Amino acid sequence: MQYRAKDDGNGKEVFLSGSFKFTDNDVFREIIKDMEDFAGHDYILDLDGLEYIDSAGLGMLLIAREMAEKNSLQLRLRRPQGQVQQMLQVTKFIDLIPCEA
Amino acid sequence: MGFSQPIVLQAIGVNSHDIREMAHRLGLEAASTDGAAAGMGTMSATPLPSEAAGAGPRILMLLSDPSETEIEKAVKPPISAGLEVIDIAAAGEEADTSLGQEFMPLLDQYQMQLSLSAATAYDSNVARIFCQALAERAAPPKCDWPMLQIAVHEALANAVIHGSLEVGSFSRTSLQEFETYNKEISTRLKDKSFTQRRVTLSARWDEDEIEIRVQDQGPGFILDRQAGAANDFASERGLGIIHEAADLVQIQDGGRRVIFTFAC
Repeated sequence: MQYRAKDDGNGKEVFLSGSFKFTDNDVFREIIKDMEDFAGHDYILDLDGLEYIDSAGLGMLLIAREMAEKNSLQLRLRRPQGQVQQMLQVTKFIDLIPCEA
Repeated sequence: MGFSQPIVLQAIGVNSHDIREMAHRLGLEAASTDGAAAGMGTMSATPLPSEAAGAGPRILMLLSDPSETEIEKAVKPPISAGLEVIDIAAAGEEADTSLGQEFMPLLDQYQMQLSLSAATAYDSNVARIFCQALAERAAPPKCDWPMLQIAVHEALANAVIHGSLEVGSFSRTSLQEFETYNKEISTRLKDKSFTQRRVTLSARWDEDEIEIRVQDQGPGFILDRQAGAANDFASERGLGIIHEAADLVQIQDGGRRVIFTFAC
């Protein structure tokens, strides 16, 4: 998985791309660390470029939710597509983290 | 359990010593060898007499620390099985001693197989390669291929992370457990006694269904609850997703083997 971030001071958008799998724990740690250091309010994970996610990837998104709560951030997911959308539906994940089309 | 003969061993990047060692571990007797010293050898071999039965050639492709391109070659016809040569010196002399007993009987039961080290399974997109080859070879028109690939990926991830590397799941609500998980993964990936364990994927199919079998050599596990009820993703080890995707799921061999079936 790859990512790039855009920050306007109050909100941050992180654009995920590629495959988010059980082997991506190291790269996701960077995002968790960024959330811990972020002083703004809104933190958006944009999934438009993400082609694949597995259960470990979903688990790591829940770790992001924990960090958001710890650092008083408003975490949202955005624009899931294809297999990612299918996984979010199959697992009822959308009930756990707000998700925008 | 008998299997057909002759067996032909092909190899990519495997030295002649390792080809002969693998033939021995598979319970085969070498009949002839061609070009094996160059690492691209073909060995015609026969099963030991007590195990020989039936007819029809089987081609096993031996691989050494394979790239994804080499793995793709090992699952294309007419190859019956791709088999990585593991690092015995690092994994220990006891490693792979039961390979013939465990692997060879599957040749008559499954049309397509891939047996890789956990290290290779971790580094490569094996689920995609395996399922693309399966779609080309089996091709039942109504099978839900995306869901099948998701299930294969989840089973493979379990076999690698929890089975071979013996790293437990992290709680979805604990930053501390996530850190511990990261450290354990990093440590185990450096230890060949874990990374040289085998993960074996097998597939068989007919007009009505596809069966996938995923076997690891880890310690196994015990489900906290009935697997049949595990239909949310937070359940043990992604099994909920496999249950959601497949029509029938069986956990065997103390958790080291999962078999699941897709109706087509």
